[in-house]
Amino acid sequence: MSRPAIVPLNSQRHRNVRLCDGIDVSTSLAANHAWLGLDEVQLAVCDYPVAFLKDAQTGQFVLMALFGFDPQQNCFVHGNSWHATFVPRSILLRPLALVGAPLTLALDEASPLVQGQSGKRLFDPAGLETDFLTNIRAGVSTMLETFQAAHRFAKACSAHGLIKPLLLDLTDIQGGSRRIEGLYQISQTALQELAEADVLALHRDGFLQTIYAMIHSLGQINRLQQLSNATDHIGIKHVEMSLIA
Amino acid sequence: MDKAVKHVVIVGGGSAGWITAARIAAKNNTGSADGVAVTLIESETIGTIGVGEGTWPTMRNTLRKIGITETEFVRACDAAFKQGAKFVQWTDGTPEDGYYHPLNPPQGATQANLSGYWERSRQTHGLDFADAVDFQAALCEAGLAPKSITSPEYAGIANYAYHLDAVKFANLLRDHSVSKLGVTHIIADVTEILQSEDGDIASVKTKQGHHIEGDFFIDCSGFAALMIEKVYGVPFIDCNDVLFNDHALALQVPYHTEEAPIASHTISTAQDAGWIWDIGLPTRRGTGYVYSSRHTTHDAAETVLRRYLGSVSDGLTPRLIKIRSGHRQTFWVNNCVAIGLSNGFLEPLEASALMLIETAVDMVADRLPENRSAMAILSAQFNNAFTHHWARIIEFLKLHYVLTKRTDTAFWRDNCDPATIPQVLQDQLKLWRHHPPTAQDFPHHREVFSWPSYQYVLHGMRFETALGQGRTTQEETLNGTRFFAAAEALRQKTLRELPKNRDLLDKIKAFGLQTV
Repeated sequence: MSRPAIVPLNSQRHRNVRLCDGIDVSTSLAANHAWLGLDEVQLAVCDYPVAFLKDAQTGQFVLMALFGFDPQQNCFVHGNSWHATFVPRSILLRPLALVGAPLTLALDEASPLVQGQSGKRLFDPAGLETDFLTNIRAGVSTMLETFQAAHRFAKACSAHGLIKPLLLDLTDIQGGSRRIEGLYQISQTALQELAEADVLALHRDGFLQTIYAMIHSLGQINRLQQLSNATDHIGIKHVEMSLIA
Repeated sequence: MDKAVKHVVIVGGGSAGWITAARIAAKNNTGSADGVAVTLIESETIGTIGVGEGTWPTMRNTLRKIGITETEFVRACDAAFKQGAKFVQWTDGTPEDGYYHPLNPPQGATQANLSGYWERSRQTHGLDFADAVDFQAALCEAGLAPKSITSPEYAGIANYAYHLDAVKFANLLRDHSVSKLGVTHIIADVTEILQSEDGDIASVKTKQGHHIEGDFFIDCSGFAALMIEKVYGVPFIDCNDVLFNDHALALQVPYHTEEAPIASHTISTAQDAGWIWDIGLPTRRGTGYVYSSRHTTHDAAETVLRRYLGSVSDGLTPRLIKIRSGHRQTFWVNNCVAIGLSNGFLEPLEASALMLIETAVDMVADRLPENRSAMAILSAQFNNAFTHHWARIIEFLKLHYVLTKRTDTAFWRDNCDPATIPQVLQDQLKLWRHHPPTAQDFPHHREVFSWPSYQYVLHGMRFETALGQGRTTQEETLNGTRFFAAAEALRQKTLRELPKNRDLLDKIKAFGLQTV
């Protein structure tokens, strides 16, 4: 019987696990996007398109960085390394991840970073948490706070009617076409139509700069296309972006 | 002389009164100084009937126009999603007898009519009509919702309507109308209705001493019909000779557990002398036996209802409701229009009550008469439309009875007596033996039941046609293959992806839906 790869942390089961440094680019946790905390947006936009998507469990908007067009595609991973100036916290956390409801810290037991006898222990031989794990937990609670901040940001944008569905229509060099749905972006038109008091409130809350950073990050869609075309994926000839009013 | 309409007075609350008030107010700037004033007078002593608990998909638009969010509506009205109706034991009364009338039109309904192909290919695919041409019946059967938590407000993967608590619904509409839309609410008993010399209603007086003048009066006073009947004496056209059911025993029952599944369709189960409705809300089921007192007794009806419900009905007492099936001879007289039960009422077989309120309100609110002279033309349009609608609805409800193969009780045998079947319906049935229903059979620009509804009922009840002997054209085969395959693909996808009805409702209560 095959074991589930991602298992909630357990001092018995994981007592002797050692975790190596590095970014886990293995496939168990691979996805074409990662959630972002609010404070990560300004850095993330230097590399990735940043948009909203809906959390499948709650329907609430979350901030995310997009790494590829296909569900498992990551244009920033080459071999065992991640080529970007900024890597989101949730990626750096790997092979640990938050799963389930309520969110629980879990380990991808199949990760190459936990296979050897080198690296730092999560639990000491008596089964107590090491300082290393305590620090990770502190990082996780910071991350959750920044997700909460992102949630407040998304709520404010949604309440002002700024969030609209973003469609990506891809045409490939073989003449095929497909549509990527499920992304949402800030509408510049809606932003321009905001009443002065609302703009000021967004500015005072520190949201306005994030809004502009997100709008500008759409330019990274073209970079994603270039990166995708540099791999063995079927070449993308054109990406049409449209925001549904 | 040509008086502008500046003040609309609605007599009566309930679903009819408050949908009317909210729609007129939202459309006509009622909250602002230059808008049309709307006053609703309702009595504290007269309760609402509160049995209109099933809507049509049109309710989504109505709520949107009123400015109520779907999240707010679901939370406040104990509402659940409805994707159509399942008719159980209407055709032959055997235990396996049942068919769906889903709210989705057949796949490709704008391009092709699939009746003929379905009949001719039945031997091969063996599918019921609803399953061959669409996927929604499978969602109902699996207890799934028509959308997911990531679907925007009022948007669905499948077409849908609602089941709701009518009392809570009227309360939500009232609070919204008063606090957000500027409707004036007066709780008082109307004692006197005063007319001017030309016969128009000029004002109403109440027991509590109000004297309210208005330009346009809307009779939402229910069966009391305070204006349309008591003032104008418009006769009531009884249709009991066509639709026999004249009573209902209604009973709200709890679920066995709090997590019990909520059916995402109305279940209508045929009985010896009528049928039982079963509507699932999150906190309870609304049920009732609609029957003909010429074909059974009240005591026997109660026994039937209790047998259907089992132990959940123990210790609960059903409420007896008298149904007077029919409608007014005319609906809009002078400056007064009747909306709701005062306009007419039929057994709740296809949930027409709330839909007819919406249809009436669409005509009245979206083109609120600017002045008195416009009423002459608008009232003629309204009266023509409603005369047409009532005739078609009566025919469509009767269709459910005349197609039965049941001969076990007098109720079903009498229903098939040609003397009780409207001539239009008799003619159509003759036509439909050789030609499936199409838009051509329903020329009214806004038909309440369109041709696909007839298809679902005719084929669901195994109406014998000669279509099976006809030749299949290449185009029919192409369309049939294509749209049946589309239905099958969507069925697989939606069965995999959509949540249980109750799970989605719980999530909407916890997180809400997004507007986009």
